Amino acid sequence: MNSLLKVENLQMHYVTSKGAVRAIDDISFELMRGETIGLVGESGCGKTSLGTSILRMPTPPGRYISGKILVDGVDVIPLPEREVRRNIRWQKISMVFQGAMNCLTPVYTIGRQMMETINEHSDLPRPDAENLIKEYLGYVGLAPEIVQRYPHELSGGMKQRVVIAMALFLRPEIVILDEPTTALDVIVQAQIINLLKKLKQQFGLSFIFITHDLALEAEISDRLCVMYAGKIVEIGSNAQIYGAQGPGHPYTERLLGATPRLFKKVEQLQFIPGTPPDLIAPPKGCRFSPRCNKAFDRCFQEEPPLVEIEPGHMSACWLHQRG
Amino acid sequence: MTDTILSVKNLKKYFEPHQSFTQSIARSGQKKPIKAIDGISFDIRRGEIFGLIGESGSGKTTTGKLVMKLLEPTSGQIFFNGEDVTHLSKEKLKEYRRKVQMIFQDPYASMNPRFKIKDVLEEPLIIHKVRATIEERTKMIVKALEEVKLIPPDEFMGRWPHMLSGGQRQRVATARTLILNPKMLVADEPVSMIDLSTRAEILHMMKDVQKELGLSYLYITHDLSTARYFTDRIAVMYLGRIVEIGRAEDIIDNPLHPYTQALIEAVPEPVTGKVEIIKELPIYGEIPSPANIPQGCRFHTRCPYATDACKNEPEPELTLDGEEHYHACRRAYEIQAERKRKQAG
Repeated sequence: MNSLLKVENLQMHYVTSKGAVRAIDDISFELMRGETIGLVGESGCGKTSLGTSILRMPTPPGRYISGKILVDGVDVIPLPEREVRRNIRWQKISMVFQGAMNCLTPVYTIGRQMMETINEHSDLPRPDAENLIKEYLGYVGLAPEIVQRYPHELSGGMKQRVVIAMALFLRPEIVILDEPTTALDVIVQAQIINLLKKLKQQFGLSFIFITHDLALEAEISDRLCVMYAGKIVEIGSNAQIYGAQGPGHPYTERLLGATPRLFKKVEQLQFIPGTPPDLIAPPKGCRFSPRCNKAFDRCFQEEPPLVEIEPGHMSACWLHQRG
Repeated sequence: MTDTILSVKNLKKYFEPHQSFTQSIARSGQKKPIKAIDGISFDIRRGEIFGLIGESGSGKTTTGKLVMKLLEPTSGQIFFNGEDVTHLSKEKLKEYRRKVQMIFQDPYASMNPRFKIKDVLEEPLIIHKVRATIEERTKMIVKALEEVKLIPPDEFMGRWPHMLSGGQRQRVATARTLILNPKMLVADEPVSMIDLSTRAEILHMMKDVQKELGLSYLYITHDLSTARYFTDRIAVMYLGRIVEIGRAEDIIDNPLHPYTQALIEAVPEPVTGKVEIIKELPIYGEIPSPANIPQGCRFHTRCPYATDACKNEPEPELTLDGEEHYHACRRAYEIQAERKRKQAG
């Protein structure tokens, strides 16, 4: 497996009148070819910000402060917008945005909206584009007649399939999926997950799968990046996080404890008290320390580095160095 | 029965689709009614948490609205404390709503952003013309805030909704219902918009309040995994009908209807070793439109176990199996045996 995307010490801040919101604060990770990486964390931890940053379109007033995003070894941050549009966005990396299925234009047919996406990023002649649309609708399990329908005539699951087809048109290598099943029922969610696994094999895709649901990540992600307050606190393989040994970082542990299990009998559901910190002035030391039940003196003073606790398993917690 | 607080009998709600003038003249264009609720019956016991589960389009929210008397049923009856409340005068309705309160799904939309928390909680007292002095009202507000663990109450009373997190807002929404001393709460997906990390906290709070005050809940959700901890009994709805009803642990550990089985199979579990597997779901496609309910058993179009009888013969009624466990599937036993064989092999 070779590296497809490499994020190095990325910092992206939202510059506001109250100060810089440090949404992404020194993040590094690597995505291998054919791999699915899961980004998990509570709302406001920077998962979506990281997704849009990789696509080179941070939501205003977002600014890149430092770091690199290497796609095939080329840093995309300094590239001109024209270049990104022609060669990177949707050609190499595409994204299924959160709630995208509800952002289809209600007054256009599905076919017309799909055509728009193709025209925006390529010079394909119209008949070819029409064939391409029908071909991709087939891949996501929809009938070609759907092109004449309007979004309100489709169910949530069908709309999500349309949006996924639109992300795949230009044969990207990486697809960022931001909460693609959050608004859907469990059965439709399971169907979409199956579809994504199938498409991944068929097209040799690599995914970045963003969600707050650790149970869902277990179904699809080869590796997990757990984010808290703009930082990665743990990176580990599916087996390392969900296996017998369990996660390394107390935050991941608590998050996993708060995930409801259908078949495991537990008297009390766990939860994490408190709320994530303000990212304009994050707490001193470890950012999770105010909510952590294992925190000790050092946690409130110094920020723990991300260290390898076993091969391929990194965690940022002072407990690992306490012995 | 004295221990039943709410009883719903053969309730139906059909919505007439909008028709233009020309459509109503041309008979051929006659649209079918949307059968959102197609004959459901259930009892909620005093001090019980009753879960209503189903996909979107199954009619669970409509049921909640009918119970709240926000919609008029097409037919059927609702009894509250043994009294028929299906049709109520304006005054009686107000009295009923004081006893049966609702917690809505979206804590960001259910509060006036220009009201301080104190005003949010005072509003029901004004609407229901609760005679009390200012001090007495403040006392009631403080008590309600303490019940939902928003402490110190004085501090929260002066805050605006935008200063609170989703979980805190849902606590305020609960306090707002408690201030009128209700007997029953209808909670429509109260935690679906709250982060997983704090979801359990809100459910704990709601359960504590329920135990302390001896309330009954109608808990509407699509999330089976929280229902297991939170509810005493569960009714599973499909296309406007209840297909299975029983104690929460029976429904989840021993589901008898194939639809319930599919719902359970689809729930993701946080265990390793599932990335390479494409999960085979024991269900086809998506839920049909309630304007076009399939003939025979309404689930047969999606059921992997369906036979000709399921398609052609009349819809099976709920039948009792074991203690308090009802299902509406004519092949329940055969399917059960088949599943066991599969699991063993």
